[in-house]
Amino acid sequence: MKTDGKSPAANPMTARRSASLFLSVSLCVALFAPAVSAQRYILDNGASVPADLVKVSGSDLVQSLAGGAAERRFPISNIARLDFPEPSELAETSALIASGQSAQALYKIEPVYRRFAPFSKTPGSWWSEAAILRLRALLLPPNTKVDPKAAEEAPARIRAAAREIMSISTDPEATGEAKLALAELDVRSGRSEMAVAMLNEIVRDAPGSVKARAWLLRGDLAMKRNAYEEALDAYLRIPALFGTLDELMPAAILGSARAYKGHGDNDRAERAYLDLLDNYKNTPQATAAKAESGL
Amino acid sequence: MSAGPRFIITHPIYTHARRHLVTAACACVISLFSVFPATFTAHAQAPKAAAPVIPQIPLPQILAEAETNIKERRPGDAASLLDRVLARVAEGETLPQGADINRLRLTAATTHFQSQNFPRAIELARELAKNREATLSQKGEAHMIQGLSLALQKKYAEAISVFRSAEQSAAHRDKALLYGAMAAQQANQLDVAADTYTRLLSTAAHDRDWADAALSLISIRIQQKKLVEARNGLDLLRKDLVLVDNLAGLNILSLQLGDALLNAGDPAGALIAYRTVLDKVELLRQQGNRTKRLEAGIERAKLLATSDATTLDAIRRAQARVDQIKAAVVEIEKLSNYDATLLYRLGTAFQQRGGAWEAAIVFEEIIARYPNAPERENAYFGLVRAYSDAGRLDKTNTAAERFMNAYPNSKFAPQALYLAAMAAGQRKQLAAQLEFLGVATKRFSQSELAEPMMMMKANAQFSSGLYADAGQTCSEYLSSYPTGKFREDATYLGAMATLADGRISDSAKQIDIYLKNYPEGRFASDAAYRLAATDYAMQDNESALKRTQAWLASVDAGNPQRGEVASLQGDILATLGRHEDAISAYRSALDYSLSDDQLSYLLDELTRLYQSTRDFESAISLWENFARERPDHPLTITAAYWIARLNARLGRTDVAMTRVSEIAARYITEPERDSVERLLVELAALMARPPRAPAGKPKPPAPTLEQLFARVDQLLLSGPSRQNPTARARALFVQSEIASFRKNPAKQAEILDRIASLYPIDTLPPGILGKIGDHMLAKGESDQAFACYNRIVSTYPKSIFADYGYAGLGQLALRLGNGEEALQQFNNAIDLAGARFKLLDATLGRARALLALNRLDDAKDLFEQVAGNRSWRGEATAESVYSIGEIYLKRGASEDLAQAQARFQRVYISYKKWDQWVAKSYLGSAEAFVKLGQRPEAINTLREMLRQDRLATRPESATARERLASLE
Repeated sequence: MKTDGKSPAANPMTARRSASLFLSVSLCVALFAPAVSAQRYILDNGASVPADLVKVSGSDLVQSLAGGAAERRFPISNIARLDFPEPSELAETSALIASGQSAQALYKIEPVYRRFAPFSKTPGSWWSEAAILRLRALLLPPNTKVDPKAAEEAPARIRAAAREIMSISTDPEATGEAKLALAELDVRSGRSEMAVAMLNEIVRDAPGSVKARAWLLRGDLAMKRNAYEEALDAYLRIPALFGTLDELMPAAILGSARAYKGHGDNDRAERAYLDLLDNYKNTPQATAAKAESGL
Repeated sequence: MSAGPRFIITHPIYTHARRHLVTAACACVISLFSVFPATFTAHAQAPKAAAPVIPQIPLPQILAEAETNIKERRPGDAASLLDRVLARVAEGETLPQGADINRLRLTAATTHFQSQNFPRAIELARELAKNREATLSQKGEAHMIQGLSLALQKKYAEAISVFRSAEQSAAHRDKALLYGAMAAQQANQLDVAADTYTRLLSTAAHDRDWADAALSLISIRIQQKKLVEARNGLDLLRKDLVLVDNLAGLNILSLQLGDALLNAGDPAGALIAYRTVLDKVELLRQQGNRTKRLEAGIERAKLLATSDATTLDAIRRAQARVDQIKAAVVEIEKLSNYDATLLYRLGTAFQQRGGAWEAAIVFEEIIARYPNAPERENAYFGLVRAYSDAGRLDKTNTAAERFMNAYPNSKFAPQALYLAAMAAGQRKQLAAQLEFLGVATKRFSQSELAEPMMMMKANAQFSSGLYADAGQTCSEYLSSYPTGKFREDATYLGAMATLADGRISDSAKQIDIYLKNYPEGRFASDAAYRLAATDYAMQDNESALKRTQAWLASVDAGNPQRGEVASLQGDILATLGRHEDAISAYRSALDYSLSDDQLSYLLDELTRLYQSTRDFESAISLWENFARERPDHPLTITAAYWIARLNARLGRTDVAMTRVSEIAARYITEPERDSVERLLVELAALMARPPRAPAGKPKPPAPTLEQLFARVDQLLLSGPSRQNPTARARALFVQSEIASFRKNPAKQAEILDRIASLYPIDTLPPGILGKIGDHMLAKGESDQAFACYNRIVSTYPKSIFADYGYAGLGQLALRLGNGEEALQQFNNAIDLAGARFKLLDATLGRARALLALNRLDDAKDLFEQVAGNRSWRGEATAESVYSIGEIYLKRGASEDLAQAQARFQRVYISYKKWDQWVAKSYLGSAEAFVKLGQRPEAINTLREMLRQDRLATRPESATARERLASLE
């Protein structure tokens, strides 16, 4: 479609100039292997302390000297930043969460969450990331075989985890996730209006991925009211405006399929179901799509 | 780009080559050391060989010297020493024990490569590669040295095959593929490069190099205009976006690919590409994080680095890469219009792919977030189109209005108005349609769309019943566009407008003119039919009859108006009193296609004619045939009604019941056949009716409920349907309706409870679900009621009983105090389900929800609507009048209190039957008196309430006693 006589490529931001820029970048292939790893604490005087030489003890890092005959203490308050590579457990936990394995995800992330807890506010710490993943794992349907009290205690655990993040983290993504968890708790307990108020705040202020999750939840709320048009406007924001968030796409597309159906647009509903079956084959949403659509 | 002070890197392959070869050199040096130390020491301390005639430096010493040169980074010196060793070995001298000639050759080739003596490096590597005794790994290394040496001499084409040979070594495969692809790219052998990258990507580990190779492959595919392959490549990369360091580069490449795909008519592919692109803030944030990660890695490497040349070189190159990413980011930061442009592309791609809803979201985003972007005007137009394409017609109209306000002189305005007008027309919002068309034809009369819009306007006027205006617009069209595309349409529509305006004679003249101008025109047969109709309207029945006869004789058999014309002929004949001929004409009309309205009219006229001639059997036969031949037609229910009624008139009640039940039984096992319930209600009414007394005989006793219930089972449950849960539930439903007709609510409730307990919810049709839902709601069993209502709206949203579901969900939400949700559900009951059965409930529910939300004015309007509707007179009126009083009471001004008082008094005077509202009204009245300062009147009101025995057990009486105690 040419609505203005210009193709998108006619735009100043486009192709040729940008391509030459890119090509020069891309051809300089990465040679730097990040295999070099080190874990160290950087003190506020600029000195660095290798992590393998010290242990955390109370509010200090303690270095054992002379075979344990002496020790040297570094107050944690004197640590300016952490220089640790990203723990592999973060990616592993994300994968477990994506496949819905709550207990396994919690088992994986708890040690990282605890390890970085003394440095929760220190730059370079991975605490926020670990705390968010822990919260997401808690939000999953609990595995009561592994933890019989999980279902009963889930709301309290989620609330505590969310409040901890909100009180400690300054990362807007982390605090946004925490607010989102509280909104989900409101939804679960039928306090839709409180959830909506919280979600409105999130979609106004939070960073991209949190905002997208909030839209998903708003879609779910609208569906509960059979407000299909509102639900579609919420769900379809994910593919429309958050196209890189592939992990949210199946839920958004399934929600949109159901909302289209409720709205009476069966053609678009079928297309959404097909999209799930074609492009997100191994997701629980694709299974649901197959059952609901008969495709 | 500056790569650092010590290297001038002008060619990308050079950087790889250096890195690779330095690594190779180190590996060789290490292997020399690993073999030599023991033996070399032994040789140095106690040489066994006799002194030669011409004294030469012993080989171990030369090797030691070479090793020193390598360690001290003097590869040229090392190379010449190693050449000397190789020459002496070639002359027959033996190497020190433990030394490996092929490793020596490899080290020599490496040092020659490092000292940029490429021809010698190639010579040595080539010899080694041919040597049968060399290991596969050594051969692979040799091929790599050879290939890189060729590439660094810009002999890219020759290098390609050498790198391909290096692929044989598993240890070198990935690097060989990478360099081979790059060499092919430099040699402009894009197919080879793409193929090599593809092989690399399919087997190599997914790491950052892999991601970079994927980017290069996409770039090549775009260069080759192989967009499908480029799209597939991007699809693959999307799964590992986390590996991409150069997000800025990826963004730009994705935009480039998206544009190419969009221009090539592949909007789905374009969407995949555009959706990889991050908005500016997110791109800068993520790129910042990744750059920091790279920089942190560099810092760590610096700390850990020895003087190892490989690490230092890697650090320098990584730093150069970071610098380039930063430069790209600076470029992107300068683009103030980045996000709006990206969004506009996205919106366009969504629109072209049929994603109208998504497109609307994107265009709304542009409009809201980028008030000064050049794309905003286009986005507005896109928005109007998107809403129109999505069938969201109210939104289309609003968007068009917003567009006109924001850009009154936009060149897209006529198109937008045209779309908005079409959307409004589809929505039957004719006033809005005419408004858009009025603005468009007035302000954009020079637009190429002005002509079709004038015709659209005439049509809209006609559809709005503005026949004189429609005729006028057609005349204007004919004078404005003497050679217009729609002259025939305008001529005929003008004639039809005149006909519809009641000017039959004038219309007939206009139709004649049309037929003269367009004897073979598109509307010629319709015109001939209309002339018959005008004659009939002017009571020229003979002429009308002739015209219909001529029409039926001349117009081809497949003409879709044959049924209509035959029907007109029936009308004419009936008017002429020729009933038999009229019946014959009507019956012939039944053989042709007719709209449901026309069909219904014909069947009714035939039934009327048969009844007037007391030919009930023919009438019954007519409907019987219809029900048999068109079992799925909506009029089948009407057929059952007439069959029952006409048979009952002939005293054949049993036959009537049998036939109705036969029709109902056809669909009794299918829950989605929701109209069966309407028939079942008719059957229940028929069965519940007391039997007539046969002539001259006493009236027989009415059958008991048990007898009737047994008959229901007999009529409806036969064969396989006997075991079918849906059929059994339906039979019970008929029984519950019979109990209701027999004024036995307890029995009715008992049966509904049985249905609910015996049959799973998914076996019940929507009509029964609605009844059970209401029953459970009345019993206070909210969960069961919710299950029924929810099943209706989720599984049967298009059912004629869907309003039961929405209205029920609204009631439940009201009970939970959720006003917003309740309002939405009641709106759904009216807007989505048409409120066929629950209009009162839904309207009253909306009013209650609005009151709960404290939207007093809106609530009052609706309560007044309910209170003023005569057909809803009853408890709803009492509640509405009371609620209006409550609203006035809430407002609390003295004149409001007087109004409240009037409403409360009206309830307890005029609606005494409804205890709940009477009691509440007494309380309200007393409260109003208190607020007005009329305490004695308040006390009197409460005493009067408490004197009424029928209110004594109501909870409001306890409240009244408390209030009275506090007032006295």
